[in-house]
Amino acid sequence: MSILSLHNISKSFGDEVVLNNISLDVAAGSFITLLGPSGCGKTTLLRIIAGLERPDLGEIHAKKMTFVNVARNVFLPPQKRKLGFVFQDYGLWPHMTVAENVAFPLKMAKASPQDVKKRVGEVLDAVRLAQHADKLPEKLSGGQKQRVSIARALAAKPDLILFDEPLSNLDANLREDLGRDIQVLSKQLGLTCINVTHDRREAQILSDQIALMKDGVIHQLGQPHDLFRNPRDVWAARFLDVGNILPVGIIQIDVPEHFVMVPRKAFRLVEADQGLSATATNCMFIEDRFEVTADLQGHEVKLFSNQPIGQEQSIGLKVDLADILPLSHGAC
Amino acid sequence: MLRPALFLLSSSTLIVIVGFPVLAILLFAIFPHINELSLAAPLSALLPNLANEKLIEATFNSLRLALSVTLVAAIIAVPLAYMRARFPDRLGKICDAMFLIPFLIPPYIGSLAWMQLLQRNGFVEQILGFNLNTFLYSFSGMVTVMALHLFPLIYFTTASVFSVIGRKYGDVAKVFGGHTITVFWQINFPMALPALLSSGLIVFILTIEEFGTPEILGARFGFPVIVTSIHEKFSDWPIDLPGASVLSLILIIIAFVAYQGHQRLSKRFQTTIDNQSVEAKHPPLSPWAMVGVVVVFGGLFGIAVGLPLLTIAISSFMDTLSGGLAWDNLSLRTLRELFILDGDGWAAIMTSLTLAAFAAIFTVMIATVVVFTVVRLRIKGTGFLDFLSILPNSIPGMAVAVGLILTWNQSFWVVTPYNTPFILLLAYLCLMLPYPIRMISTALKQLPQSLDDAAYISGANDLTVILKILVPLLWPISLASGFIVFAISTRELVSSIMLAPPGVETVAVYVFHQFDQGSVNSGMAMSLVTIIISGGLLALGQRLKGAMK
Amino acid sequence: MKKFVAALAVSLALSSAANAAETIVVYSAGPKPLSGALAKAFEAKTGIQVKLFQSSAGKIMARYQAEKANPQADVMISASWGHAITLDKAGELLAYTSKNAKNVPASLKTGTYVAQGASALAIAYNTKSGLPAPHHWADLTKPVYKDQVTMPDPAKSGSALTLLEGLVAQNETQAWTLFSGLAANDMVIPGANKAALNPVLQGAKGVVFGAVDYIAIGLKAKGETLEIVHPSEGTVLAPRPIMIIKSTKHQDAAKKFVDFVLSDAGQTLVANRYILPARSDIQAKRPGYNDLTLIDFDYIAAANQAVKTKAKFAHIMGK
Repeated sequence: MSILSLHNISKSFGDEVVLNNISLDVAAGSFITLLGPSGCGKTTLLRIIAGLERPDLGEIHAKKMTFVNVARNVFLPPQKRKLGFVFQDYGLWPHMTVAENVAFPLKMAKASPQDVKKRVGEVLDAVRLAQHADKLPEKLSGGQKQRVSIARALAAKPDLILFDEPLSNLDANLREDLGRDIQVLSKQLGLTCINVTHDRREAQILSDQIALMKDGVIHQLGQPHDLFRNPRDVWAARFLDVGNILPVGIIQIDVPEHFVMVPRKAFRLVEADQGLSATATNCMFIEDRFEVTADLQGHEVKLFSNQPIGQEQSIGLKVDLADILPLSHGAC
Repeated sequence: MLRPALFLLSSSTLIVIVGFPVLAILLFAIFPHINELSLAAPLSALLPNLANEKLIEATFNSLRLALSVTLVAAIIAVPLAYMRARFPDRLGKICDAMFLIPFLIPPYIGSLAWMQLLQRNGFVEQILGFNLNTFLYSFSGMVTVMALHLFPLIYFTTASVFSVIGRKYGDVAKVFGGHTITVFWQINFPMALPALLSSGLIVFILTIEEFGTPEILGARFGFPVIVTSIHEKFSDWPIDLPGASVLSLILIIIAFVAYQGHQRLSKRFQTTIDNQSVEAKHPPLSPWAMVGVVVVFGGLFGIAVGLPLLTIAISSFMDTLSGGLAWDNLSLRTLRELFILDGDGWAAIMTSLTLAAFAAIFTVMIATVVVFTVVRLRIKGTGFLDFLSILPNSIPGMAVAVGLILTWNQSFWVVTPYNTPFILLLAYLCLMLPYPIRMISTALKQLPQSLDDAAYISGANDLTVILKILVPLLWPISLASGFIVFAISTRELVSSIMLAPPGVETVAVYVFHQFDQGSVNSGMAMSLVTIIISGGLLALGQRLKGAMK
Repeated sequence: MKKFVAALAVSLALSSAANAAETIVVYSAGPKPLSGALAKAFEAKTGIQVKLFQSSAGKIMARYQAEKANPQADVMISASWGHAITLDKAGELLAYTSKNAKNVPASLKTGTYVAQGASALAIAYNTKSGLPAPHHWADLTKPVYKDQVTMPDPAKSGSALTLLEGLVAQNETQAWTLFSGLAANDMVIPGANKAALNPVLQGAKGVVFGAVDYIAIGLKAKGETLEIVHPSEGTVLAPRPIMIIKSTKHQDAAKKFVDFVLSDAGQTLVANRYILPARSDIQAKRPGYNDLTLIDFDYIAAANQAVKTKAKFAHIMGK
């Protein structure tokens, strides 16, 4: 069952078209990420869903209410949409304690003082911050601040929680940890979430569905593994950084497309005089193997190796044809 | 429903407080008989005045004076600001507090004090045996006096920028081997330039609008400026009100153009120093550096603040003016008279304090609503509000007074504040509104939008956002701006003289009457009392602000 | 906010209620203690309330002009005879001759305005300055007074303008020679009356040419080391006109006020401030009509020439 559906949403700022006729359904209990480079319109779309911006055209319907219907001049202000929102810069009120921050949405919903107290305790437990309840936000670390922000978004049990690059202000390790926490929490509580990010890794960790956005439209929509294994075109493959993109001629296969995507693991190292001949330009040990950069007939390619390869060393490459993906040039 | 209501409230308030008097002035300049409710002889005052040679000379003089004062003030302020950025926190705060004091000395009184010090047979000559008479009554002398009064404005702005830049980029440059001086010229100076120019423009505007110093010093060497020319049109017959409006209009235009420049520049530098939350960690100064700081800051403080203040204080204790600096001329008579004589002096103090307190409270309240409407609600028409809210920056007190009379002294009003103390309050609101608006809007722009958004999404409406989120966060800066309004209101002279209803006197008006009767010392004594009272309140405000942080 | 509005409404109601009782509005230039004392004594005597707006002569005129759409003032007391001439010419004054004006010299009264009192223009010098005592206007062109003389600006001070007009009327050539001599002697013109007097009190300068005498006499009485000289070849009076504005809605009360100012009691109050009372039969506390040599000239004719006279003066002074 879809909990939120967007129909033909468009938005321009002056002459610049930011969103162009976007439609999207969000299923209950799913975690969907709007992924794309800066300027693709993903943040604007999120703010339109939240009611912080108004679309020029289109409709948004939630389970029991209409958020927006431009044609009918319907606009529900953000305070009536019963959403949760987690901001990139946390958006915590510096003059309120952690508990007061979290209690705010409950008080706005006119919950009784006992209920407020109980619920604040519950959500702070859920984000493991109960012992910090009486501190001011400035006393907390970045990760803790973002947990408070999440707790606040959860407090009033909204149907839908919106995340605006929730991890991008955090250190790398913290990002991973908090990302997993959010993922686990969302599944435990059965939350429906929409997330916005430009970070592939963040999208992979959190999402059931990814909507890849480009120039104000949804370029490709799918589950993470599907998206990363089958990028729609050269642009998507480049942005998702899924492997080496080469002209068809170099691999010598017969497909109508002009380009192929060759995943790093699809290259196999062979003796220098066999397969495609290439020259190693760089070699680094990453995680549990070497990542080699090589020059293949004027194209830079990346591949994995179990042994270190010296610089300027000539190598031979064989391609595992089962793994490669022909790519249309797309719109770029 | 709240948004249109807020918009309506702030625009109608601004239209009444600012729009009406400005419109009246504009109409008066075009229709010289509008004060008799007649549209006869349109433009008959405007054109001859614009072609008047004296007016062109005065305009040119005003511009030359304002440019020079701005330049000298910048030369004094920038090195100080640069040093200030390197101070430990407490020392810096003390220096800042010291340089707030010049604001408390009315420019009119300040110039009189300089005369008493430096002229022939002045205090300096009576003690040290030499005078600076020739310097004092020259263009350079006047520029120096005004620059010493106004440089703190540039100092405060650039010091805050320097401290942010220094922390962010100065170390980077030093890592790459830059010399301190090179770092200054290559890194700090260019980055502080927009802030410097923008605060310089404020100094420029204040100089162009200043009346006291050009009137007192400039008259001695024949240096008419626009404001003194306006005053001359009022001072003896034939009184030329339409001519004065034309001059006011020119003044408004110059100041407005300068203010636009300031706005543009400050927008630019706000983006360069948007992240002010970095905390200062300075190594303690070496003993030698400490001595240098004490010498430079102490010396400048002594000259810019200490000398005039001391002169005012000494004058307050002098029995007769011609008695000079002599023990037998020492007396408490003038100070005593202040609090006995018909109770006039005391009544004036109470009137001023009450009016200033109301002005502070109301300007801050109005500014909060207006700033929220302009900065946060992006409704059509807020540009017009923004325009109205900065307009008073460019209106001289005399023009406001005439505008208010023309507006409110009409028989068609059922109730009018005219001829009650409320007209003074209205004038102060108009003249002071830019201070809290500027301070609060800068502060609001630095609060992340996400704080508001988070509250809206949590279910809050506009009113709740203002009351629960913004007011608590902006409270310290509002308080500070309120105290500034308070301090400046207690010394407002020109509009108070023109508008004081029969039987009501403010401190500045009282001082003016004392001078008018040749009782310079009584005037100085009253000024001293006012400086002490408003200085005390300002200090209290700073302390409260500090305590709240 | 509501409370403030309520307070505003109440105070407005009260002020209009007060207006309903017999009240006159007086705009007055000149020494504040005098205006205050006149108003208080008048209230005590007649029960009519006086609302007093007190400022400099220029500012009360500016306020009066700005208020033309809805005039507030019933009576004006200016320090400048020129103001009265202007208003009279514009037909804005009420014709009234007070029964108490009998003993006011003819030159100090017209059908619409009358002097409340007058100051005489004088030389005032600081006795600590070590300068020889001057006796005549022309003495101040002597080398011994070089760089020691100040004069109020006739463009800013009505009384200084009257002196200039009087001297020119008395002997035009001689007058302009005198001013050229003063200019050559580095006389400064720092502004209105007080601006000319202060440097002399402070010792920066020695002598004022054309001081308003009652201010100087008052300061001397307070202990300032000033001496006042009325040159024997003649000086002028700067009469202080009192007039009723035609638009007044309180004619009788306004007339009563003028009567009171010209009464024995009123004139004594004037005399107490060292101003020369308008009535010649009231004892002055300063040199009176018989002690002064006065230049007799036509104020109105001179006023018609004022713009030209001021311009020539400014030209000679190099302004």
